[in-house]
Amino acid sequence: MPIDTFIAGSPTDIRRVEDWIRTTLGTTIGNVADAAARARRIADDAWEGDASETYLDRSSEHVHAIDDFHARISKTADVFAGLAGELSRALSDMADIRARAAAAGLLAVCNTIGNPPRVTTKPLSEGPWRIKKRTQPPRRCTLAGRSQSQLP
Amino acid sequence: MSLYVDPDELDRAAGVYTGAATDTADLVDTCPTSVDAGLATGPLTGMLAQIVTDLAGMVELLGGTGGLLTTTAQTYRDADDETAAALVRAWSE
Repeated sequence: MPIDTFIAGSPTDIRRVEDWIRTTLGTTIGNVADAAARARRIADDAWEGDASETYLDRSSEHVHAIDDFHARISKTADVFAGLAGELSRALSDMADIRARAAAAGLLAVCNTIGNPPRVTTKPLSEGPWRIKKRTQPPRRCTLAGRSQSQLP
Repeated sequence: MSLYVDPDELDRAAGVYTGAATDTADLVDTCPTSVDAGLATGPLTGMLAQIVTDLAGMVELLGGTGGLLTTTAQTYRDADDETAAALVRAWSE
């Protein structure tokens, strides 16, 4: 029975997305977090009163929410990187298995390892080593030698 | 109660929020929508969709805060103008 070693997925494509998450998204959201904190400071310096306290409370929550999102982005990128690494290792393992199978004489085409080649053999009963039917009863043997009853 | 407000600075803060909202919105357009991850494609695509949802929420948050600050600055200006006009009238009588 042939063995299919194909594993779907592309580590390169996963790393492409991981790079976008970590670099483009992560950097931009980091800048956005800085901007939100800067805007909060500007308003804090320019506004003092009952309403400003409410605004400052809300804007602080916003800054924390953006920071949390930034942290989640980093973890998401780690998930993508981990999967890319595991998939890459699995593909490498399968390639190694195919190479070993080919070295052992098995046919490995694309991702499939073929069956061992067929060897045509005749049944034992048809070969020159055919066992002749015994015509005499077997001689009994003991550790001490032939049994007495079989002595010539 | 003490009150101090500089509407122009509130407008500047609003501009920072609005700019951040625009930068965040631009990310949505560049976000990958698919990934070839074999059996993990579904979960990873779901994570990408969640990112887009989070970005949309952030755009709303930042834009809304910027708009609120702009409204606040204008409200204080209007109140100041009305108060000044009332005081001028009062002192003129």
